[in-house]
Amino acid sequence: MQQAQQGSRQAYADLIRTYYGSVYMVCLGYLGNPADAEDTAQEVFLKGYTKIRTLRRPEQFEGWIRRIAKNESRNFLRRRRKETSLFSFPAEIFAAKDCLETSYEELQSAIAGMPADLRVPLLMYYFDGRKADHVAQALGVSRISIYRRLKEAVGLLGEVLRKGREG
Amino acid sequence: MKDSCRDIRELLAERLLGPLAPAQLERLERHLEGCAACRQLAQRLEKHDRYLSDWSQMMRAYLSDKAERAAEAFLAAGPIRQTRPLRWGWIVSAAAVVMAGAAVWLIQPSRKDIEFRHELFKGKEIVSEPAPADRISAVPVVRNQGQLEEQTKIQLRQARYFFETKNIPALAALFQTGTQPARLAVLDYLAQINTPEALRVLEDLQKQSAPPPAEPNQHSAIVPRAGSVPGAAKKQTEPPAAAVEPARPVWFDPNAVDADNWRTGVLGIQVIDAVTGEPIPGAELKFDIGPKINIPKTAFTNQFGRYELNYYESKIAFLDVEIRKKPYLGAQLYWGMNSPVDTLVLPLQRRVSLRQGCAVGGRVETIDGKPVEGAAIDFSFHRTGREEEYPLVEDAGLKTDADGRWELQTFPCDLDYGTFDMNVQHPEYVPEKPFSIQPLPEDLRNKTFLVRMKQGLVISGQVTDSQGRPIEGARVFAGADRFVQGVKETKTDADGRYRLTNCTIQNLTITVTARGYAPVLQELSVEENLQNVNFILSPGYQVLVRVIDSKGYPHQVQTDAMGFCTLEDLPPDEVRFSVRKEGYAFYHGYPITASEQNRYEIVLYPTGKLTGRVLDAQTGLPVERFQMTPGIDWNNSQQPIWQNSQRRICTNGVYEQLLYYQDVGWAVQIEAEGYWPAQSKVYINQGRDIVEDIFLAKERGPAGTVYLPDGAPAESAEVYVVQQGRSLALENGYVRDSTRRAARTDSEGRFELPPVSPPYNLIILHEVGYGEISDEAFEQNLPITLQPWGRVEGTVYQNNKPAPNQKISLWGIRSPMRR
Repeated sequence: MQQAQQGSRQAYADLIRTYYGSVYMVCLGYLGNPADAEDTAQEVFLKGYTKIRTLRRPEQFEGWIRRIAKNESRNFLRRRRKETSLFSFPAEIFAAKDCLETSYEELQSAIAGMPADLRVPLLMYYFDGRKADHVAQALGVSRISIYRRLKEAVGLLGEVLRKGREG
Repeated sequence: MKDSCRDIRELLAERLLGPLAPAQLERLERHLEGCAACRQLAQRLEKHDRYLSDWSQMMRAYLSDKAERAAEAFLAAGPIRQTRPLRWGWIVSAAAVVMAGAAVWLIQPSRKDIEFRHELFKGKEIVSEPAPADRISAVPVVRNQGQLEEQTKIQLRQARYFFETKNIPALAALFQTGTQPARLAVLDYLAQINTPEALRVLEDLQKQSAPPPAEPNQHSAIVPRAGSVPGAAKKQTEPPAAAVEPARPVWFDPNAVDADNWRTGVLGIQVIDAVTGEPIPGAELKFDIGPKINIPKTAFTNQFGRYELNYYESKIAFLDVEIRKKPYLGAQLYWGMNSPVDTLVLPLQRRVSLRQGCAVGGRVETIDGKPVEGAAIDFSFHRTGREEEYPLVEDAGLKTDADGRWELQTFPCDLDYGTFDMNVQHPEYVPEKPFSIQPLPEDLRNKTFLVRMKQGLVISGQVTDSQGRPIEGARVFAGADRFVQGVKETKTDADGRYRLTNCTIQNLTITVTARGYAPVLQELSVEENLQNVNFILSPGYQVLVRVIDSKGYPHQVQTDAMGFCTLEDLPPDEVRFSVRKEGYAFYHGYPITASEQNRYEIVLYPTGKLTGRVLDAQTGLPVERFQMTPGIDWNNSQQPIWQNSQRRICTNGVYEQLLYYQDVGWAVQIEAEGYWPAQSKVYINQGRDIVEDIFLAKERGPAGTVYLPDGAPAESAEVYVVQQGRSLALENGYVRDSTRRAARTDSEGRFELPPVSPPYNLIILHEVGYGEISDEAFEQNLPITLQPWGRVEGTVYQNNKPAPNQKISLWGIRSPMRR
């Protein structure tokens, strides 16, 4: 970390390897589109590198870089001046395993129907190995509020699934 | 107690987020055993929980590959300049922004610049010159007021943190790089803290600072100064106006509903002693906020007498704060919306001065001079402005003693006559005068204020059946509705006698109900020496009702297994019943006339939907974003009443309205920016989806300019459309109905409305005046000039005595009502 702050590319590349996933997930959650998420993640790490010397508490790198990701994603949306495009998982994921059932599509459309402020915590919660504290820290909101949003997101998921089945 | 499915769904959600407590788990399992629907939902949720976990695992594998490639690309990239620390650290950690408008001392990267970086990062070997010294960072310029405000809040919060942790160098650095509103807020904050240390820091900062701009809120007034960014040349790239979007008249605010949920607001409250100016630590703050969002219910001020409340900013309708600290007189702060075009903006900081109260007191006696014991006293204070502060008087439970005396230790010392009311209540007595009591402040302080009460009037009589036999236990109450609560109410004794005490002179409806009898209503004007008011009840009618659904299956809500129920004690004439069952459209008033028919069959239909696409009439393309207002046609007149409170924004080009009443017609009204509003036909629920596509025709709405009486353009006037035959209720110049929409004029007095179909009138409200214009006059492009507000003054007498605090309503023949 310190090496990265002193300008070591190699050290920063290690940071990219470690944190790429969580940054990408934030971007995907907001932008909904894998290609945009990838571009934005690159932008985020570039920005991170140019600013890393200003980070006074190196142990907070993860939260810091994720907050940059959140802001960059939202700037991206603002520039594009439209709502999040329809949410989709990267297509490779579907190709990677053929054990997938149609229910995955059901799940995807349920997640796509959520507002971004519920979707992002939900995706991050699972991606982070179910640590709500982590998610809260990364998004810069309180633990209680992240818990509430997660509950709302799961509730909404249930609601959509229930309706989908009935309808 | 049996759990509802709703509670169980909560528990299911909670279970996915962590282990449940054993008791909850037991509740859940017990419910799932008995409820097939919830069991199914639980299984599906579990399955999707598994899917999400699997999917996350796959994503992790997929992304580790991507991460490797990103890292490689990064290593292969050309030179990337790093920002030097500290100076810009604030900016980065605070999500990175400076000022809109004038005096941007950071430069927004050009589009080309961004693309260049992008390419750089993708690994192409492009070697660039080091960035010039003034090209400091890729910080985007603040584009709008909202972002600026957010930025200000973040910086102010940081400043407070630095000050309270005594990190003065950091505070100074932040002050140098902060936005101008933030700098002013920091100075303001320090001034409020008002300790010697704070004042010293304040002075230091002021020395660094430029002469303060004349108008603190005009962020364009900022002047960059030499030395504010050491070593960095300042360069102005664009004219200031280009960076700020011009304010548009507020109508369809695209951010109105999907306002950024992540934004939190901060309100810093400081409590100080009004005399010494010293902060008061440990003062108790109690919050009430609407709608109910998650904020602390109570809090205490810190050693600087401060407390910071964090809240979700986009949602606040009102905020009420009670502040208490002994031995001071408490205070109450209230912020609320006053007009529908307002959004409630709470200040960043608010200071409250508490003073010691004065002791007050008085006496309550009967008109013949005997003391009245046990009279409850309370006070209410009149509201005045938009943001309000009231004294908090601890009058709960205040009662007179055996001598009729009452005393209150802390009461405001400096109130004016007529700015507050005193209420006195007693179970046996009513105040001598029928209107509210306004004591003279001196009398209260001298503890000589005297309130006279007299014996309340009594309504009494007997309730008998048609043969003259007394009915015991009949309920006698004031009000025309059996659901009325908290009114005068009594039951008859064994002789069928009743007594309603403590009545005043007024008109009342007395209702009598008793088991086995039809209810009786009687209107009564209460006066002194009222003769016995007797009621004769006749036997009630019985009706057998069967509730079935549209396929003929019986229902069991309050009805038995076959859907039957018996309604008893009905009067002979028509009574309307509401019939409801979840999942079905309900009757809001199903008429039953017991004397004519004693068997009814009520058919319920499932709740259907009125739905369809919204399309552009010319192109046939979908209109994605629009507002939908449901309308209810209560008496099948084909003229629906638009339910403005249920208006909502749809963004996917499709509207949908549940038809949850069965016995009324439904319609929807669709409004979209740049189109004429359009309405659907009126439909009755048929238990299934009704589809009607709605076509919108493009048009611009009325637009014009409003002038003040002196000819200057009228800024911030509210322009309301009032369809002919409708009225607009005003209260002292403000519109009370918060669902009414208005356009607001800009700084040049211009406004623009969405299309409206004539005939209509425009009503324009402004602080200094009022205007009204018909659509015909408006179409002739006549200028709209406001007339100054009129005043109507006079004195109201009641029983030959002046009657204060009576509500006065004015009705015009054509103009709207004022009050």
